Amino acid sequence: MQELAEAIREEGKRLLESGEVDLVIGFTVGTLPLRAAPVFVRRAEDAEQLVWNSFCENNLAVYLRDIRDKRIAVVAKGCDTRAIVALINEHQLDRDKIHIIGVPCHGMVDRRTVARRAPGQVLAVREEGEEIVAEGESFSIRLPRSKALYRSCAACTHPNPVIYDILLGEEVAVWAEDPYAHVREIELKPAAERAAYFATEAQRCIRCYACRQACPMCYCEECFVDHTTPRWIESGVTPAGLQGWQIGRAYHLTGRCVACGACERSCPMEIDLVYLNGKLRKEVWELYGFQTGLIVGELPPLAVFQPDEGSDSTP
Amino acid sequence: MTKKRIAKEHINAFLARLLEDYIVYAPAEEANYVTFRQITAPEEVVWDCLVTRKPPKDVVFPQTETLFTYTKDADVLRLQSMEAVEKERILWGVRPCDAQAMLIQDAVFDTPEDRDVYYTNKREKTWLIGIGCNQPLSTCFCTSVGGGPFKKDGMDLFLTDIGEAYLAEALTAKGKRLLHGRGFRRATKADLKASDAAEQTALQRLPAPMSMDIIKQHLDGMMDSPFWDEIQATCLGCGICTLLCPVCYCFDIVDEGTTTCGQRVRNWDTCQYSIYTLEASGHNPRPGGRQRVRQRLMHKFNYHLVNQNLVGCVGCGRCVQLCPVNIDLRQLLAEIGAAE
Amino acid sequence: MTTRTQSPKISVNSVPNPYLPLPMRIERIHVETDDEMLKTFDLAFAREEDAAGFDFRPGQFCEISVFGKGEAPFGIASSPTETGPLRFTVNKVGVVTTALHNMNEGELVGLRGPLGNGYPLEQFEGHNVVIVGGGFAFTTLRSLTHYLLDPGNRSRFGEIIIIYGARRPGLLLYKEDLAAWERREDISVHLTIDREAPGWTKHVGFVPDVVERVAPSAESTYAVIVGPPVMIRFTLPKLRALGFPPEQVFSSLERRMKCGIGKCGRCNIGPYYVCKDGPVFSLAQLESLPQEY
Repeated sequence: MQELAEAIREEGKRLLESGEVDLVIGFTVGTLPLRAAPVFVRRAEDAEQLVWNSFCENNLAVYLRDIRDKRIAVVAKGCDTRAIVALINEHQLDRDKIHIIGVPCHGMVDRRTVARRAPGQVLAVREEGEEIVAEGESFSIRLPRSKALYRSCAACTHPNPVIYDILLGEEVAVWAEDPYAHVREIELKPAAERAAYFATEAQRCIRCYACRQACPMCYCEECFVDHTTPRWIESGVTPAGLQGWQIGRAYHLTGRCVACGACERSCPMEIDLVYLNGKLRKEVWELYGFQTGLIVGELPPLAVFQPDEGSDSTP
Repeated sequence: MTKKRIAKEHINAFLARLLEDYIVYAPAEEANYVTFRQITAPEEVVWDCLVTRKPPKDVVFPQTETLFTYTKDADVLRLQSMEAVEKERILWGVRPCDAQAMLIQDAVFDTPEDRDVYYTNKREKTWLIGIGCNQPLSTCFCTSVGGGPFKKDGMDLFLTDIGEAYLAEALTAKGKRLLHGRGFRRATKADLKASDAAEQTALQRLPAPMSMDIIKQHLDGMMDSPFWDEIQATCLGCGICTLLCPVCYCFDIVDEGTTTCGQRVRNWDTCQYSIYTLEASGHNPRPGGRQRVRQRLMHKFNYHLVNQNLVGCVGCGRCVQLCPVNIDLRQLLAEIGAAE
Repeated sequence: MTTRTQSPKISVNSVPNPYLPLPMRIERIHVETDDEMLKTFDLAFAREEDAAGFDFRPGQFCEISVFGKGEAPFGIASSPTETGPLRFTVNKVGVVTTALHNMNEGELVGLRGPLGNGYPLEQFEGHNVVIVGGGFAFTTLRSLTHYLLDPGNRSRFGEIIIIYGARRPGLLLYKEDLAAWERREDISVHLTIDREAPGWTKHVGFVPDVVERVAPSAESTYAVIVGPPVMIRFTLPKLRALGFPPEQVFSSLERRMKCGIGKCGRCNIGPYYVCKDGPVFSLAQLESLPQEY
């Protein structure tokens, strides 16, 4: 992991020094243990700030659309590159303006899982091989990385970048056995139980819209939830308002979600968004054999219409 | 005022008595975290959580609240205000920072010209039983913003963990009335000494206080600073830092219903959303992330001092812990304080 | 800041509730401009006791409720010296204003107010007043003008000059009032339109240029300027050139508002809330504030 970080720093420095790009978006060391922070590096000498570790949890593709006047390099995991491909396919990004520093990913560690396993406040954390070592005032615990991954990372099908200008480090083997395991687990429950589960999850929502803001695919100029003429969704934290918002957002991402899990990671109320979006991803996979953001030029199934295609009523 | 001791084995019985007469909110589990919520049994209380996921502010200022219902026909408009509050509430185990936040909200909602009755009616029936923070977290910075791990402002009753027992101090007449019954004994000198020691230990764990005066002064000259561009570059523009802030109180007012019947509702809102200031004409006086991140800090650390003579932050560190991109308020304040 | 007037509030359990609107009946709807985007609504108190307690000053505003759609702030266009209904002129631009435009005479709406500070009339006393207006922002200027011209008030003020412009004649508000003022001796009225139009015999050109042409003396004079931001931006240098110090120039600002009483947070400009500390600010104040309006 250290070599990978060094390689990222070198590549960032080289790109800025040569003037190939104006900006490198990557991660820097966080202010808290278990955290890394997105960083915008504009000068070659600042490329030293770049890091790579198991806490680089954000999908950096979220920043790319808004920076239209610059040539940007971005440090991208598998899921970040899937978002880039999906954005290119939706005509939101110009491939030529983006220099992708592809980084194979071992899966990101869920800071909340580690914090929960620790008997006190985690004050320092380090990675030792395949273990996460978390330390506090009077404890030191070790967790296998594989047991501390984000749910979305545990189910990851594309840890390696699917598109890049340079690939740093060695490609990794896919570890997920069933990407939809969590979805299936909930699907097995009776309908009433599923509905209750969704209602309970949605009811914790505080409408901070971190899920939307963290999602690289949520880029509407005006989100449906903000629309006032007419207003589609009840305004408050009522069951109708919250479930309407969660369902509406999930549906808008049908066939567009790249399974990065950025929504769930950002959610302060730890709502099971991996299930909600995963369910729709699974439907799209089973109906159309489609996975988002793998091939440039391949449009999401709900964005294409063919005159001879079937429908529910005329199979 | 009165100080007594109550052995830890009796504390749940005390709480159980309170539960008979009051709606009680306390730090308790929800999903995978601890939050401030209503409890129905003493066993639900999580004692060692200093910073709950949600602050207790929604007890007096709910995220969604009906102001009034309306029915309208051709001749008559009927409004039914929902301001009345029946039952008294207790915030159990509230921390000094969250209590301080309520005092700041009081200064906003309870003004002589315009009493916000929806807020004040609930507030007047809410009693605070606080607890000191023997082990402040690494993200805590209450002493920088006029607070402290054992600050008792706003509390009716205050508990200090002194090992086998709590030292219970009544700070108001109401607190004194609550402080009786089985389990309470006269506090000994040793108890008071233990309480002082706990406070000293806690204070030593906190970082050296920052000067809010200097930060305010520096902010006066920072409207046009590139500093805000740096923050907004990675800021996602979500509402976590404000909605989960115990101080933030901005709200929206919306009608839910038809033109003939429905309700007028108020919801928490945040300066971090672009639609917050978006005008019907399409004009937006704070059009970008730069203006919005600036507004958050200016309001808390400058405007609030001008208007209320209070800092709009209590140093609880929720925004620090929960920001999805690790924008750290402590770091921003340090940078502002050090700015030329 | 000027002091606020007391507003009548509906009380429950004797504590006034600042969020409950008063019921108002739409007494008259008048299409104000030839593009039909502006309508004037005369609102009468549905309950007599509310009228008695409603005491306001020019420059204040009210929140008008269209139930089911919400509330929006509007400057009061009638003057406290006029008897009868309260007058509001509404530009059809958003949810509430569109709903209002679709309403009929006789229907009920809600009203909270008066809100805000209003124009500093005490300060104006004994001085000349130059009123500069543009487009549909003339509403509270109508209120102010009526107030100044009222027989009970006129002698307390010096010379009164109005400079008011619109893109074309059909977009000028309050044509009857303007005509009546033009006939008077104790006020000088300068109307202007952007470009020549058939039958138009008055000024042609933008408001800033007409201000320069009319060249009111800054000596013992207050200027009140309300209009589109671009008009204000280009007029202020002209007033400065005429010698108006920033303390003698006042403007009324608009911002998105909800509560109207300085609590909900959204309408601040620096530490000031437009709803509570404004909407009327002196240019001296505005110069010290961030450009967030």
